[in-house]
Amino acid sequence: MRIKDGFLLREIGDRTVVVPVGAKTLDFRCIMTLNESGALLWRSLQQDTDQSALAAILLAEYEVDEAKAAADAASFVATLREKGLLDE
Amino acid sequence: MEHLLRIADIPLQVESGAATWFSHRYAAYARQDGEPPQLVMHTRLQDTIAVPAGEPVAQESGLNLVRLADGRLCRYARNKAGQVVVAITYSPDYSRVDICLRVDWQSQHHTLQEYEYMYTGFSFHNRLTVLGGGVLHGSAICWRGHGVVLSADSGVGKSTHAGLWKQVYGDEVVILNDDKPAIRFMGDKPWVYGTPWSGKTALNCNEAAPLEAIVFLERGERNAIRPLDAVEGMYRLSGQIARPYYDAALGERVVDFTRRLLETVPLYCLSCTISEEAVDTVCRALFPNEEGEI
Repeated sequence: MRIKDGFLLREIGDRTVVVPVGAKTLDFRCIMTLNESGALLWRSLQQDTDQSALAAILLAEYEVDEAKAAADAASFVATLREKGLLDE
Repeated sequence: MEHLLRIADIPLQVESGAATWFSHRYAAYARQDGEPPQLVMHTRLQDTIAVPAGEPVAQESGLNLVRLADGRLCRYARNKAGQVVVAITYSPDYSRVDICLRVDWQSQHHTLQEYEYMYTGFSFHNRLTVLGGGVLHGSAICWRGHGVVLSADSGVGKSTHAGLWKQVYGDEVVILNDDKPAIRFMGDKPWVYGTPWSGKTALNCNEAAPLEAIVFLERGERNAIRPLDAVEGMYRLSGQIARPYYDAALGERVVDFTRRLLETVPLYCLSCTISEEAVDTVCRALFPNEEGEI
């Protein structure tokens, strides 16, 4: 899976926002805000990857156990999938 | 008819289709110098327009986008009979734009000259974006040398609020552009400019001011102003600066211009009534050292 093309990631202060550009502007009118871990996962998803790899990234970067990392990765992927942001 | 213009300090050469109407609109922006234009826009009214032949790039919102053999982008639209009614061709850097309008194009929404007005305005916006500037949807005023843009969705009351400034301060207020002012950076400082493209009214002038604040208007029960943080500012600015769907790279420039504005101009949200007190609320928050009249 990977994030669809047509989205820009930009640092705004201490936050990260995602802005659609090009044809995506027609489908996604809003911009999205990501926290630090969300931005980390989004960047990983700019290349082809899978949910277990995302969980591994969270496990490596944050003081969380495997179950928490897996649940957070699954939740993030589910949100992206629901909003139609993933190519799978 | 050809016009040599300087708009937002950009030299233009414009060939208009609706000559008389545009001569009036462009008069204040005429230039006499021999500087080469950084934007050339030619509008032609034609009896028929051939279907542009090129590689399809996109088809969105009733407009077709093709890449011509010479590398230029061309957007075109057809009427219900399948006839091409408008074709706009852009050079890759948006410095040359050719607009063809079918002379019998009739729409319930706009006249032919209004279409020319809109498409030339969009084309100016594209070129300005390439040059590092942008166009913000709002009413731009200059009060005592301070440039302020009053921005909001259509219908909220931008022009009404700008009119209140005129009502309170008279000749101390200049309305630079009542709908789509241009913004450019001179060094690190943003400046706001009047342009001929000012929406339904002709409220614009060929002047500029340092842009010191952007105020997003909301209708409210009382007058209150608050500064915006970066994320809310990005949300609000993004809603009022058009990103072209047909060119992702140009859209990226728009995003970077938006972020630069965010980093250099204080942003506020004004909840307001239609009252002179609303003007006073803005003045006191933005310019506490200026003496007000209210």
